[in-house]
Amino acid sequence: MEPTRNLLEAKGLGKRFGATVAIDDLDLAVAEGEVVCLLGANGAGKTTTINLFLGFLAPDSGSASVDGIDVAESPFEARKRLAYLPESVALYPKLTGLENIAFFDRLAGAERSDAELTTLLREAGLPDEAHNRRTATYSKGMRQKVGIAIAMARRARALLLDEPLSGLDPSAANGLGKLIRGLRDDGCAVLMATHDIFRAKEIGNRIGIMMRGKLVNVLDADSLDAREIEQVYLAHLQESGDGQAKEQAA
Amino acid sequence: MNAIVRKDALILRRETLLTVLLATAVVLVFVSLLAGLQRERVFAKEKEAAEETDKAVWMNQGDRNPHSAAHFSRYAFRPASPLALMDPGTSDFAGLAVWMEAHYQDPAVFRRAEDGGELSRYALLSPAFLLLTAAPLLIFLMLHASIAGEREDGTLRQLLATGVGARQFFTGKLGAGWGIAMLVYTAVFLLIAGFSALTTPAALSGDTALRLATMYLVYAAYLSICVALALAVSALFRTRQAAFLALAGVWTLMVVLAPRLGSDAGVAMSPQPDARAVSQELRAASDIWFADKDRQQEIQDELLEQHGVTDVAELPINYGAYTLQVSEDLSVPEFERVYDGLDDRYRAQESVMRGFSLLSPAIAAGNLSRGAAGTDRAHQKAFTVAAELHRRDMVRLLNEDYMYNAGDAGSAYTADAALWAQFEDLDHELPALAAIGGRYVADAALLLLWLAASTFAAYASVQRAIRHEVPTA
Repeated sequence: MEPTRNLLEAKGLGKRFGATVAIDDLDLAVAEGEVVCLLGANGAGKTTTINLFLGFLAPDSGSASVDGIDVAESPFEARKRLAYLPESVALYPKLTGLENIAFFDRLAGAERSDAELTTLLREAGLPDEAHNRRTATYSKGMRQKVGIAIAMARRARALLLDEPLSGLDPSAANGLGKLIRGLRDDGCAVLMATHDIFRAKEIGNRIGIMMRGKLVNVLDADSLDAREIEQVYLAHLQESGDGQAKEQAA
Repeated sequence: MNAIVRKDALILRRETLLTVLLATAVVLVFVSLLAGLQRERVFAKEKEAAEETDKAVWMNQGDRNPHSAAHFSRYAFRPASPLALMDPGTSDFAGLAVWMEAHYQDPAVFRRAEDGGELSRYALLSPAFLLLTAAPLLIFLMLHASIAGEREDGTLRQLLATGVGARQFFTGKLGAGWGIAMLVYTAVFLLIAGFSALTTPAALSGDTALRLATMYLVYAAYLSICVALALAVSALFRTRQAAFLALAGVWTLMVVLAPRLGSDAGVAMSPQPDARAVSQELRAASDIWFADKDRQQEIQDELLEQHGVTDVAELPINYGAYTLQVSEDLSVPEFERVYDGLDDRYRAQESVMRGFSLLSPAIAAGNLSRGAAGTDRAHQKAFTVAAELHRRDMVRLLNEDYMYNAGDAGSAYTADAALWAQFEDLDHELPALAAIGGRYVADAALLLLWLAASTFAAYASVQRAIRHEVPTA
C-alpha cells in the first residue's frame, strides 16, 4: 500500500531536560500504511519522541500531531486516536487476558462480545488456553500479544511502539513482528522505537537514526539490507563520537 | 456502567483476603447483635421485675402519713431505646433509674458498667462500634491498592495513554470503592435492622423509622468519607505497601488517638466536680428551708395574714404539710442550679471533644449515631428531667393530701392505697428525633464538611498522581 496521509507528524519538535537537549528540531512524518522505526542508543531520544506524541511530555518547541490534532493542545483527543505498546505491557494480573482486553475495549466506548474479543486475541497470537487464565501467569511475550490485541481492539489508526520486542524470545519477536506488519498492511501508521537493526529492517518501511536527540538520517528499509543499515548506523556513531552508543550497537 | 468501576469491582471480588475479612466482619456483626440482644433482654427482664417489685412495695406499704410515703418513695426507670441493640451508646455508663424521694433530687443510679463485672466489657462489641472502628479498616484494606497498585504495576500510565482523563479515572475509582462499600454496608445494615425488628417486641413507630434512617445515612456518610480518604492516600504513594502503612496510620489517628485525645482534653479543660462536692451542694439545696428561720417566720406570717388568723392551729390546712411543700418549692431552683452546672460542664467537655472531630470524622459520626439511637447523654438528660418533674408531682400530690385532709389528726393522719394508686408510673418516652434534631446540627455539619473535604482531597490527590505519571495532564 502506498503511503497517503500523514497520521503522525512532528514539526520542529524540541524538548530539553534542564541543560540536556533530549529532542532537537525533529521533523518526522508517518503516513497511513507505513512503519517508521526509530533506531538509536539509550538516551538518543526515541522514548522521548514517543512520549511527546502521547502528550506525556510537553514540547519546548515545535509540535507533534496525531491525525492532524495537535497533541499539546488536545492531548485527550489525540490519545483517543492512538494505541500505545510499551516495552513491557502492564496488565491487570487478577484479570484474565479476555477480561483485560474487554476492559480496554469498554474504556474505548466499544462493547464487543466475548467471541469478537477472543478472535482478536487469537489474531494477536495468544493461545486459546490462555484467554481465560489470569495474566499474572503470562510470559512477557503473552502480555505483549494481549497489548497488541488491545491496540487492535481500539482500532487506532496510529500506533506508538516503544521497544515492543525487547526481551522477547526470537519466536515471540517474530510473531509480534508479523502482527505489526499486518497492522501496517491494514493502513495503520506505526512509529516504533527499537535498538534492534535487524527487526527494524524486517518490520519498517523507513528507519530513522537518532543521535543525541537529533534525527540524523532516514533510510529506506526496502532498498537496503540489514548489513548496509548497520554500516550507516555505525558510521553515524563514529561521527558523533558516541562511545557508549557504539558499545551498545556492537 | 463506567469501565473502571466494573474492572475494579471484579478485581476486588477476587481478593481472597478481603472476602475472608468481610465474612469475618459479618460474623462479628452477628455476634455483636446476639450479645446486644442478650444484654437488652436481661435489662428488659430486670427492669420489668424491678418495676413490678417497686410498684408492689409502694401499693402495699399500708396506711401511713403521706409525707412519710414521700420519703418511702419510688423509682423511675429509664425506658429502653428500640435502637440500643445497634448502638448502646452511654447506656451502660448512665444510671438506669432515679429514686424519687421528698426533699432531694437524686442522680440516676444503677449503672450496668458497675454491676456487670469484667465480662460486660465484651458487650461493647456493638454493631455501631464495628461500623465506627472495623469498617474503616476494611475499607482501607480494600482500597489501599486502588491507585497505588495502578502506579506500581504501570497500568495507570497505560490507562492514561488511552485518553482517560483525571475526572474519568477518579469517578471510576470512587464509583467502584464507594459502590462496593455501600453495597456491603447496606446489606449489613439491613441485617442489623431486620434482626432488631424481629427481636424487638414494640412496633416500628414513625420516630424509630426516622432514627433508623438517620443512623443509616450517618454511617453511609462516614463510610463514604473513609472511601475518599483511602483513595486520597492511595493516590499519594507509588507502592501498595507504602499506601497501606499510611492508611494504617490514618486509621490509628482517626479511630484510636483522636477520640482518646478529645475525651482527655475535654476532661482536662472542663473537669467535673467530685461526687462528694455535688452531693454536698444538693444536700444544702435540700436544707435551704430548714436552715432559714427568718424565712420560715416570714412565710408563716404571710399565711396567717392571708387566712385572717393569728395561730397556725386556726388555719384550714395542715401547716406542717404546707411548709413541707414550701420547702420543696424553694429547693427546686437550687437543684436546677446544681444539675445545670453539671450539665454545663458535660456540654463543655462535649464541645472540646467535638472540636477533635476536625481530626477524626469518627467523633461526629459516633455522636450522631448515639443521638439517633437515643442512647446519648441528651436522651439520658431528658429522662432525668422527666423523672424530676414526676418526683415533684408525686411529692406535691402527697403533701397536698396531707395538707387538706389531715384535719385534727395532724401528723397522725394516714392515707391508704387509694392515694398511692393515684401516683402513676413514670411514662417517659424518648423525645422525638425531629423535635431535638437541632442538637445535632454541629455534628452533622462536621460530618458533611469531612465528606466534602475528603472527596476534594481524593480528587486533588488523583490529579497529582496523574501529573506525576504524565506531567502534561
